[in-house]
Amino acid sequence: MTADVPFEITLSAAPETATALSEPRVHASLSPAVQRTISPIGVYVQHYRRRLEKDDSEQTDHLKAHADHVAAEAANAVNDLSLEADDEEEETEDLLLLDPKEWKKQDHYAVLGLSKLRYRATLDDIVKIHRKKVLRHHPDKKAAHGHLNDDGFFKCIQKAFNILTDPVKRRQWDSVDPEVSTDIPTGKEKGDFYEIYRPVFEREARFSNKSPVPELGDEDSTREHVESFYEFWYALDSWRSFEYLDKEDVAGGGNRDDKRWIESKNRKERAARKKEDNQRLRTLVDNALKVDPRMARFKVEDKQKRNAKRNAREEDERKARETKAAAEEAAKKVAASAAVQEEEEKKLRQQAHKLFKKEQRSLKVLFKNANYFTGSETPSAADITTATEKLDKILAAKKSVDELAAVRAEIEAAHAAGNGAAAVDQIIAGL
Amino acid sequence: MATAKTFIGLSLGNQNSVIAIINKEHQAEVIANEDGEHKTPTYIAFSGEEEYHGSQAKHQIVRNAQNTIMGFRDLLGKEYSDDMAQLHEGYARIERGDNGEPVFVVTTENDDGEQKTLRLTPHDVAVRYLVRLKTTAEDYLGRKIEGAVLAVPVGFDEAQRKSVAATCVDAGLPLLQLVSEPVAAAVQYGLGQDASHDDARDTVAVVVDVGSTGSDITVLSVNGGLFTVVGNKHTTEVSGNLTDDVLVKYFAAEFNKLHNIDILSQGNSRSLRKLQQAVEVTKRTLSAAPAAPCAVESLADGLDFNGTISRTRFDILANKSYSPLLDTINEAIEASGYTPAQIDQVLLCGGAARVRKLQTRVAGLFPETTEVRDDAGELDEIVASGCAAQAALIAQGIVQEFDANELQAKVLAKSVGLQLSAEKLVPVLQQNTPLPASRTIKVSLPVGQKRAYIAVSEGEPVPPKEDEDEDEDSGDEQSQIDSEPPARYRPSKLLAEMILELDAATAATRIEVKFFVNTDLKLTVTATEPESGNSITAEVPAASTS
Repeated sequence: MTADVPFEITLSAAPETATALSEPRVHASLSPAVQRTISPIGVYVQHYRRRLEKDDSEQTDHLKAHADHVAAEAANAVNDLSLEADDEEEETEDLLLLDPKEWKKQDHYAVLGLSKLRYRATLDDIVKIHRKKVLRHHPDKKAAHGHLNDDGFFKCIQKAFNILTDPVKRRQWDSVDPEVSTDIPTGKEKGDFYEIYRPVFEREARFSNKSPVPELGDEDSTREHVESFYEFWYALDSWRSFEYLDKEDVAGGGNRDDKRWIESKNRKERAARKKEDNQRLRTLVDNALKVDPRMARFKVEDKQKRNAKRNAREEDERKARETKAAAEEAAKKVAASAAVQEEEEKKLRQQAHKLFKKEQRSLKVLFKNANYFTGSETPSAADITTATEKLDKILAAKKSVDELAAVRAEIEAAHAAGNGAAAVDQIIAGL
Repeated sequence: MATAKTFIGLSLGNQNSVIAIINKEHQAEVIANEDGEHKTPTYIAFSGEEEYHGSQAKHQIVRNAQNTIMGFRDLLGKEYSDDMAQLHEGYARIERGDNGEPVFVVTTENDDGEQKTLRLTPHDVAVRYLVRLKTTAEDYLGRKIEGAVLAVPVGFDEAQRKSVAATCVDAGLPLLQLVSEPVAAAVQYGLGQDASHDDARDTVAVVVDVGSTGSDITVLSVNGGLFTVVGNKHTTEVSGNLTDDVLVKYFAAEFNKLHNIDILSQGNSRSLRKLQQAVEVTKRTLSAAPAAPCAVESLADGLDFNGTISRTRFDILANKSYSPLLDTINEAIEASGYTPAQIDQVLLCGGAARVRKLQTRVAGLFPETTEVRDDAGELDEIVASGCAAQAALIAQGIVQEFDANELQAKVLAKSVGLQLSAEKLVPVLQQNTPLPASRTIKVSLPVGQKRAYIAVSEGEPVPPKEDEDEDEDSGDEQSQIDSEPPARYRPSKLLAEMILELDAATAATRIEVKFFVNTDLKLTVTATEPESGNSITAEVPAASTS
């Protein structure tokens, strides 16, 4: 094992036979290789495999590949965003003089020097920085410099570390971290919506039990994204709680009833704070929703869409109405013309009737004037009746004006000739 | 770093199994089972309707031996043979199955007294057992196990390995990799780590694994972080059980003297098993204390037994039984082409290797330059921890291109190095180094010399000197350290020689010599003077026959 040999290896002097050697002299080749199985275990096998696949002329083995790989990893690690040594925060005088008894009031992140990262600090960060702080502030170290019993700040560090590394306690502290603003925009701010609201939503997202929390997005976000964003935030399941602000039972000396009273009071307080916080979140989302330019845009689009629909509907209705009116008009016209026609016909009928009556009347007058064709000036009542019956027969038989006129003319002519009665009888016989 | 997956390391032994997990610090950590023990006996027993595992099953061998299954791991993937049945005499019966496989026959009985015969293949038994181990680990971690690295003996053939893998599949245990036990042990001992170009950490190690039923001697060559198993010997002549037998015989004789009852005779098997279980504890105590008691309640005929044995007496009794182990170690080393002087480290593992006397005997085989180590934790947990260490590498993504397949590679048949004299060779590339390989060595020049003469040779191990003991006695400690250690290799075949002329202007006294052998066995030796950059290269072509 070459590495283990603690002795410097010293070459021997050249033997007599080789003193004049100017060129390398080759004597023999290596013995044939042996096939063996290499167990695939450890970190180096992967590089060896890769090296075997590559058959380049480079005179390197897998160890070089491994070294390159390690170097590349190290370079990557430097690029990784993480807690760097130069990020260290200064410890102010106030910080160092903190009273460990007042730990509830201390800013745990500031104590550990994480006041910039705060809730974004990973467990790794906390553990790392805690180690550094302990190295610097351990009471043993201070005692070595003559500061006995100067362990106040160390206690603060330990308290902060205990709280921040306990997931439950850390959440309780993060819930009420006074250095992280809980302000929400009122909705009346002027400026870019995204610039105002994005940091707020990002800040509040830490409370979500569910992850990933959807992002606010930007002007080009899809409608689904925006809608699901607001949906998520309205239904946000927040782990924020307010146990940290509980009032303590002073010195724990109280009796059972006191304790219960404090406990119930704390519970109420917590519930009230939680309610308030929920309200705060709701207001935030409401405000955001109200001023979200995307929502406004969607509204306009919606309106346009709805309007377009309504317009189309109205157009349809108007057209329907018009066609209906036209149809009615036409029907009215037809009806009117029909009435006129009827009127005319009626007139004609009435005229005909009138003529007919006139004819009848003139026939009657003819009978009367001809003294009922008795030939005497004073016809007897029986003759009149007979003649009237004859007249009635004629009138009943002859229905049209022309016939009546013909009959009258015939009778008139006959009467003029003096044989009216015979003509009448002839006519009746002809019926 | 990506979120680490839940992987575990498992050592499935023939007698005891160990579960190791990866803790928060990414270190292997052996966990306790439900009974609070770090190692779970590889036993399954059936009693009534119940199925017992681990120590509960092991206790059953006292009164329910015919329904207790043990030693099933070694039967995985094997054909039935009469030897097997003989070996398991007194435990659950083994029969030949329909397909020539061994089958354990056990009887279960329900509450109504109905008897049912269960026929279980070693595979079935191992599946039941592994499911239990997996549950133990999952209960401990509170997460589902996403992968396991399992150790098997180096002597397992392909069929046995496949059978173990199939068992894992049926047990719902996602198997990442099967590793050989000695390799896992070497990993736990920290071999093959932090190898770099400047320091390849080439090591030849002998893993001495003394198990309950047999011992495995494995010669490993670790070169630049690559593990090559060079040789392996198995012996059943030295084992924890055999050491126990020495104690059993001793205490049985004592009991016989007191009560005139011979528990070693036929028909007293229950008493014998009770005593066997008791001496296991005694033996373990002896490794830590100079004397240990052995107490068994109601050993035979209702008589209690209380005995004590001192370590000295135990060593005297057991000393003889270690000799086969030493022979096996020597054989394994010789068969691998080494001599004890070339062995850099001896790694002990297996619970029975805790015995102090055994450790000293093993150390006596090797020169003082060889380290005999037992410093990697509890000896019976080393393999499981090694598995977990490998699992941790995969889980953390340090091994990115993980491939569980073994790799066949060409390795150097003989060490190659600088010939310093006709009797001395400094190996630069050791035998069994996988190719291609490159190593650089820094050497100084003889005083006043401005020419570096470099002779490259193949070497062979120097056979051990017979008068070694004399040497040790003659020189005192101080002079031993000051003088150079004896050469371990001597040149066997001169390959090439060359001379590097150093720049006269610089006062350089050191040069670097780089050796490189490619896969075709072409050796390139380059000597460089770092200050001036002067260099000379000799190329030794591969033999035409190869």
